[in-house]
Amino acid sequence: MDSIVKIDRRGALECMIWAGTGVLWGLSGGVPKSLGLLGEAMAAESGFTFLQISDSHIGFNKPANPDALGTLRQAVAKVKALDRKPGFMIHTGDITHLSKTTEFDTAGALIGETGVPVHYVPGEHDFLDGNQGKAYLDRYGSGTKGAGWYSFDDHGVHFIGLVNVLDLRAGGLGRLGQEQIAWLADDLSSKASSTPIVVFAHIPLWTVYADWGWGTDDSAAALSLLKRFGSVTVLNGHIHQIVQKVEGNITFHTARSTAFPQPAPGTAPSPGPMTVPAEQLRSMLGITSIEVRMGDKPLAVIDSTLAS
Amino acid sequence: MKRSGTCIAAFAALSLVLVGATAASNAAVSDHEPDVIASPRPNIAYAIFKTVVARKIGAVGGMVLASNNAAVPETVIRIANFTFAPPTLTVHVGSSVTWKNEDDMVHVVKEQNGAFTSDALDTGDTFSHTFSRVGTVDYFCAIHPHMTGRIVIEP
Repeated sequence: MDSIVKIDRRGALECMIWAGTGVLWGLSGGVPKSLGLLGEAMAAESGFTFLQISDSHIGFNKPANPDALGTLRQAVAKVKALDRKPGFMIHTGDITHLSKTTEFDTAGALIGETGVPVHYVPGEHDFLDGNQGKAYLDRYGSGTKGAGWYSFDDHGVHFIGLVNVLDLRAGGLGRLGQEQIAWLADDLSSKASSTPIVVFAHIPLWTVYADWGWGTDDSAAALSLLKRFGSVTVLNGHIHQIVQKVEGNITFHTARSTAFPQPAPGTAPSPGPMTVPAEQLRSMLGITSIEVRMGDKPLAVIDSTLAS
Repeated sequence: MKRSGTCIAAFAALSLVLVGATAASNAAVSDHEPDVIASPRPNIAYAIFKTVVARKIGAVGGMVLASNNAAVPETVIRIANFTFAPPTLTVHVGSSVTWKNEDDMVHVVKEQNGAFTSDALDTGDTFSHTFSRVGTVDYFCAIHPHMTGRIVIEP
């Protein structure tokens, strides 16, 4: 498994060379950059930044982080303290741990304190109500299709929120389903190939590590629809750590959780919550800022931890 | 039938103790399992009763099985490290199987085609299902679908 990590790192380094200074990445083994520093560096490029937060798991209280609400509160404070207000946030799922009403209420109220609009997609933990995700969809499903997928445009970028956590099949990975893929084809049909695309969903839309279910069975069908576009950025959560790669026109990136870390692929018996010394926890949790750049440049994806 | 009646009486007595002693009750289930299997006609009342007992265990929650695996009865499937142990379990028809989640993560036991689905099982929670037909049942974790298991039900 070590080899997979090395390949990813090598691939990421190649991407940095390829893109020159166009891509600013805080690598998982690299130095986390603060959003404050980022703000100055990016201001000349465009006026538009959005944030990604993920896997807040409100309700989780196990040893890996007995206070998932407290660390989300820290992330929210970080957003509130930003000099440059982001255009909006995306939350890539697992808002709650058990889909309980109180968990949704608590998470929604706290995230709402940022005063920043939020576009959500669900994680599998948000669909645990035994009622096909009604608890989630009653809150965040307005104006969406199917199990909660949707798209919108902002600053010339086409954003697509997908759902790959419903009706999963035995032995499989994440799943989009034919209905959603057909919707995606239709959604993209009117878009010029020069339109920058941002796709976000909970489970990675490429196979990070199949043995732990870190991938989406039918993502290839969705990604093939994105091949004609010049700039595609895919943002996911679920694995509670940063993994990224570039494949052709598509940049893939996963965000840290605000709740608890998970082990690197294959480095532990299971992908379950990883307990680290308390003083290290916040360096393994964080949020992501994405700078939209004009023209064909890739979006700049910069991660920062709760410790920075 | 007399034997089964004795079982019921024994479990009725045990059930009073169960709420406070999960590990002990699991051992008791193990001890009595051969009686059910040997019974010429699987006693449905007994099976239902066992399910109720298992639910009582589940309601207690939060308790951890004895670390000695040998003490775990064969009709308990441990969910640990994102696997079902044992991955394949053979039981006699009429048996109740209990899944117990020992992970720090939520799991959901679901029959492959949805014939039965547990609630979200947090750490220490259990789910029981009684298998009333001979055959093979494949199941998985509905939110971690790479986790799969099988129950083989024999006459």
